[in-house]
Amino acid sequence: MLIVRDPLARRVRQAVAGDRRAFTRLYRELHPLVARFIARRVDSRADAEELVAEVFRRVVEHLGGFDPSRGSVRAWVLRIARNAVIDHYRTRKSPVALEAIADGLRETTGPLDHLIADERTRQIREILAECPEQTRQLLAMRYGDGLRHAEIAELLGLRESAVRKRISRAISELRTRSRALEDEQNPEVSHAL
Amino acid sequence: MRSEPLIEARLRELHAPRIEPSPAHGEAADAREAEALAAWSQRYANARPDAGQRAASGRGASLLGVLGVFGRHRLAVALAAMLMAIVGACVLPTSYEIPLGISVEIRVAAGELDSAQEIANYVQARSNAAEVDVLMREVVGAGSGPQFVMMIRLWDHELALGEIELELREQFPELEGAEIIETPLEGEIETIWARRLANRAFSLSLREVDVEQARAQLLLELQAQGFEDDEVVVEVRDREDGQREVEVQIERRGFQADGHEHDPPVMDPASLD
Repeated sequence: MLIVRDPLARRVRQAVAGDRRAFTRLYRELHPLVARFIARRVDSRADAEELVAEVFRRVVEHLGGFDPSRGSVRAWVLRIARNAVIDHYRTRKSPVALEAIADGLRETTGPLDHLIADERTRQIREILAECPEQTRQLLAMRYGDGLRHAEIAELLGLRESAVRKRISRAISELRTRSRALEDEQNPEVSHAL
Repeated sequence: MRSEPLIEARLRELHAPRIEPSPAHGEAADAREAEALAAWSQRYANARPDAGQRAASGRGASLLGVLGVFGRHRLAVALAAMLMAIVGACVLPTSYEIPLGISVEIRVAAGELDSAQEIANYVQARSNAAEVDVLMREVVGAGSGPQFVMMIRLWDHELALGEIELELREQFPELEGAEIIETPLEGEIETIWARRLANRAFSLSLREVDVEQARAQLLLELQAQGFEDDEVVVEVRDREDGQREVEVQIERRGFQADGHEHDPPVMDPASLD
């Protein structure tokens, strides 16, 4: 059986032991992940900057308590980021549902017309809107946050195999329904398989 | 070829961040990193102030030592360079196409293909395909009259490309004036060289071990990909002609074999587990 070691866990261990370079590397490797996660959940650049800084403050605060046997460093940091976003909206007494924000669903149902490049993208968006919430959540985490299957599984408390299957079937369903819609709306286009 | 990566690209586009993520470089980024580093220093660097430097200098010294040894042995240096080149090549992205099936498209003047159902049945029986999709529609193109188009997609079949057209024309004389186009259906696998080589090595190792060991290897591989024991059936047989036959059946719950129009909504989480 192949055992995959989390290279970031080693950096955490070294950083806790006082290795400055290990902490710097850890920060630089995690920063893009955190920055993207936050950018998908807030509307203001200033809020995003502040939240990213807050996430790393919390990471430093709890670094010594990280337990590699309970999951990967990336998933641990993402949980911290999610809690920071929830706290951010709670502080502002925002009417937006906290879970929806934390799981990145808002952008799949929010106004995204400026992002819609063409008809097919619009179709995908419409089909997505009809999908069950959990499917949208999985797709948002996979394609929005760029998370690995194992990380999504960790964050949602699911088995990795279940996440893989659900995403795979969702993609398959999207493809089928997209083709069907395309065939209905554009019958003169021949199949280019 | 319309392929899954296109859907994935559109999903990424739809889920793009609403604002630009905080940059990793620049003045503000440097300030944030310095702030994090300061917070870290307060908690951890003071506990063992020289630990990091010790570790760094230790690593530096050992690296110099290793380089020194290599410097005295040119062959070792050359080997190390070659090893690095191989490792570098192994992480390079690569892609390859895998055959999935064929598509048979039949075009006739509109309203002239009354035997569509018989044709579909014939192709399905003849190809012994694991799955068959049949699409029929009328197409009105600019500058030409309406056409009836029948598209049959065969997945995991036993037909060679170009094999069915002649048979269809013989079996169904009404197809005399029809345009029949056979197209391979292929999927593109995007991977890195290391994984591609590993897959090849895995295939080779399947041939070298005995039937039971090969079956056990395949089961392990499928488990690693997230399939449960009760979802897969693996059979490995050695044929008389010396070829090894491997059959893998994967049960997809909620999938209905007959009638594509009546497939359950697989997006429902209740049917996904």
